[in-house]
Amino acid sequence: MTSSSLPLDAKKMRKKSSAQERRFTRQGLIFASPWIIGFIGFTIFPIIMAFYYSFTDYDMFGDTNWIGWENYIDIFDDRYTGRAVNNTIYIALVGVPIGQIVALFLATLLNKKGVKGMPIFRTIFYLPTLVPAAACALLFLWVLNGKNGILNIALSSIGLKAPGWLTDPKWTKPALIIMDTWRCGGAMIIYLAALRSVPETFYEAAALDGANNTQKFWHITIPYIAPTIQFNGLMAMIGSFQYFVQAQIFSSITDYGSNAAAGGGPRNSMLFYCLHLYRKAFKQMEMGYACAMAVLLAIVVMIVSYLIMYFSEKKITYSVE
Amino acid sequence: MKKLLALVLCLIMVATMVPALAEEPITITVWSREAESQDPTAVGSRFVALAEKWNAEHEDIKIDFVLAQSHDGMITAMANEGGPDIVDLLWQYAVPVGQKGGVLELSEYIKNDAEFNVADFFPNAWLTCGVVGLEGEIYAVPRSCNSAYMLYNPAILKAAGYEEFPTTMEGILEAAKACHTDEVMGLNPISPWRDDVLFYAAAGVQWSDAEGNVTFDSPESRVALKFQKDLIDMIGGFEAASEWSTTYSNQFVTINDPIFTGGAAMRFLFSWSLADMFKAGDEAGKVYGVDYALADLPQGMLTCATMQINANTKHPDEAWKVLAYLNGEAAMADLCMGLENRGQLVPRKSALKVIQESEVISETVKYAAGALAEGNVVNFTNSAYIDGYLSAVGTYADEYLRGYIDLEEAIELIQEDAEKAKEDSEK
Repeated sequence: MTSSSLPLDAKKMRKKSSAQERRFTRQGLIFASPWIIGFIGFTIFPIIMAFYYSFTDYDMFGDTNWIGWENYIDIFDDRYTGRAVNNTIYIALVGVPIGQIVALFLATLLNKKGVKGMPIFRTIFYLPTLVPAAACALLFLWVLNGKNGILNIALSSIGLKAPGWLTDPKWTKPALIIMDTWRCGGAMIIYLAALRSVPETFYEAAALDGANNTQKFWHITIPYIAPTIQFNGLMAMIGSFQYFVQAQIFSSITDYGSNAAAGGGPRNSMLFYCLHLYRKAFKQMEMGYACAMAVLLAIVVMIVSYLIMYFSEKKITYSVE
Repeated sequence: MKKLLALVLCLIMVATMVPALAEEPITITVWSREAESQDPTAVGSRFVALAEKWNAEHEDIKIDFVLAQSHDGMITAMANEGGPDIVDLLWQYAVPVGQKGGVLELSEYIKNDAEFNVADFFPNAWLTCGVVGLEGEIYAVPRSCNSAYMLYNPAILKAAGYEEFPTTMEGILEAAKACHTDEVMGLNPISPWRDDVLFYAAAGVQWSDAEGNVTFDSPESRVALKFQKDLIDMIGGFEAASEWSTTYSNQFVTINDPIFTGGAAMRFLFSWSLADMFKAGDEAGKVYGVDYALADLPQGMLTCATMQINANTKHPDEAWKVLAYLNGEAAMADLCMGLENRGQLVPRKSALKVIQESEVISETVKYAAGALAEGNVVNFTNSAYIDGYLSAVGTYADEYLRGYIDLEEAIELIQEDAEKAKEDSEK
């Protein structure tokens, strides 16, 4: 039945609906316009400009000249880029899994029933997340102090060799991972919510079949909360590629000399990709080069995110039949 | 009657418009990195008082002095074609930003302003403000100085056989080794931090020649690097030296400074700590009964904080007048009194004389002012690629001192990287 064969009343109603829909759409856009304007002005426009500047020699003050792919070629020629990429991959491949495993472990503990004072425990484990990253980094400079830090005092008291967390290039990244793991409360809360959504009937049925706790965990809990693991893991991975605040504070204290403001720590062991980008942009004022680094980072993050989603889709069930 | 009323109203309107038509004074905004403070003797407070004094005496130009601004904030504002008229960027950025057109070139102003009395500055101060100092383009005016000295415990040195403090790098190294024990740190080259300028200045390194070519590869650079390495080896390695530094640095310039407690024979002291050191030393003398003394490095290091005129300013001539005032003889004679009137080094000879003749400033600071006035100091040559040069020195000196590369490799890599930074800056 085409519109021309519709009765006249139906045509009028359809016309009235279209006009109404258009009015509703217009009103919706008007209400959303402050956000849309802000999004275009403060997100889309800067992205477009960064992309443009990545092909120029923009240095914040002089004339901006088109130089084509030169910035992108220079990134691969830069002696520090390799070190920055390696350090960033280390955090992504080591720090993220450790953080997620600890968060899931804590969430599992906090999901236990019948434990008195559980709300207090949940608060205690979540509190570190409320500490800003910068304040946390300053705090951990003392926790990780080689001689007087509480961590090394504790290690020495049980007969273990206390490393120079802030001064030995082999231990600076593990030090950052320890600090970040202390702040895993955000991921923990999300895992806790996911764990609480697993239906009890599944565990009861498994118990009837003779499954032990470990089997229940691996065959019921993990598959059921897999979407949450995927989400948390993906967000943490994206965050690791943009690792900056903690590294800047650690290296500005542990670094030496006139470049203390944005160095890379001992042997550039804390020179992460975004820290290198910051140094290029604001210390060496090579903004065009820094924009090229940012564009490459965005492309890499998009590719990695796509790959994670693609390979995990096959393993993840989003709804229970 | 109506006509009379209309005439009176018109006259009243004209009378109220006259003040509005009168010329508004030009306001010159100054952004400074100095901290805000309730203490009137703090540097920031002194600058604000100087600005208020100017405002009371001038109707045509007013100063709006804003404290606690960040370097990054200033750069961002300037890059967006805004920002204040006068800025207070980090010292190593005056020339790179100037050569990119971010701040004004000031040599004509300096040459033509007799009242500014450029001869009152000691010449090396201008090397922070331009590549070749006053002979070339100048992008800033120096406003305060920093130099480094040797602080030592005379009793420990005397016990090791040194009545006088050594005057050469080799002598200092031998004295440090003679004093060093398990309980006493001879001299730690990375305490309070490993400096990228101090050792090279002390050894007499020339970072670049008159044509601007990088000249780091020199016998003096090898002396400077080896000096640090020998001290590191004496202590037992880079890790041990770092541990000592991170453990004791927070006690520096307090009554528990290792110099006073007998935990260190000597260490480097930067001039901004001189006044606090004197105060701590006075207390330590009463508690520990120890003495301390100050000695010069074989050749002193000099860095200067500077002020610049933003290229976006709409009133360059007025901005220069304000800049010249804030860094003039009268202003510096006040600024040199420093926090709690304990003295602060400034680059004008007349102000250094004020320090030396003061009845309230300590002998320690007077000594430092005298040493500075003699002028045996060198700067790290400012240039468009200074950040890349300092990065190279920092990175490869670190690798060498940790034992990952040898001396020749370190020198070669620093020279290469600095030359590349220079090439990149000229593109």
